[in-house]
Amino acid sequence: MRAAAPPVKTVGRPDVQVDPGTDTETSPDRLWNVIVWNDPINLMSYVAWIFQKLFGYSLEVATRLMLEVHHEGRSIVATVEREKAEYYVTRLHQYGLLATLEKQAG
Amino acid sequence: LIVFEIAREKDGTLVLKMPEMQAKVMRQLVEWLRELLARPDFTNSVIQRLFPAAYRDGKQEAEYRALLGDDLRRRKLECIDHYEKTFRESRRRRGRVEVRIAAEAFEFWLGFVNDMRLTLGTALGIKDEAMAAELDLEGDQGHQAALFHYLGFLEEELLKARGFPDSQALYEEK
Repeated sequence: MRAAAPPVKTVGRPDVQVDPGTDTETSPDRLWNVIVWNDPINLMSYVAWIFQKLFGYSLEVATRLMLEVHHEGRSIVATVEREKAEYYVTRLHQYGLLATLEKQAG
Repeated sequence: LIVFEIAREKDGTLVLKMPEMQAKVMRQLVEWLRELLARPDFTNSVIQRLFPAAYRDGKQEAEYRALLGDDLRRRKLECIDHYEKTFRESRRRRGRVEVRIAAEAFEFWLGFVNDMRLTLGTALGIKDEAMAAELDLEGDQGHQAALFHYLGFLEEELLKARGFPDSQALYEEK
């Protein structure tokens, strides 16, 4: 069950999905970051699998984001409109990941 | 001793074969989680882990929770139902139990196994990866620790059976 179309627009971070319907250069206050936090229980493979499944990322991108979570403690896995960010966070919680959303810094 | 086997059929169904005793333990796992989810106590660390916050801001979090309602709890119960169904429909052949996980049930099945790992890991007080790797299998919580490792291995093997690389391979890709 794929939740969203593959990335169609990239801004700043070419590896992370950005809402295709939003002009990020003129209305950055409309965008929210979906952040996944490191935890000591979830398996690396499981986390990467979820990133692929939920966001439609390639294995390479999903692995890079997973390793960023592991090494840096957190990773921005998508930057989208608030409603979609809430949807993603809800799905990530269903999968058992620690995820939050926060407004993208202006 | 971990002695399960996983085979993948052409339609994506996974067939998990295990000894009767392992199947019995696996089937009984649902009771603990179902009981926790029946009346979630949000002062319980396991429940806090299973229902993490979406917002750091308390007011936004309260609004989000109100909107979300019971969805997250119901999803977890749905995972339990799918998992249990595969055991109800399992077959016994040559002293082993065969559990069939259809492609459409895989996500729910894995979801339950992962929730169970989160439940066990939190109950064991795992705070970091080193602690998870060095759990005492001989102590008072040895049974829970063994189950935690067993389910981790099973989760890796289930993902591998679906063609996904294991954690070690992903880590070494960096």
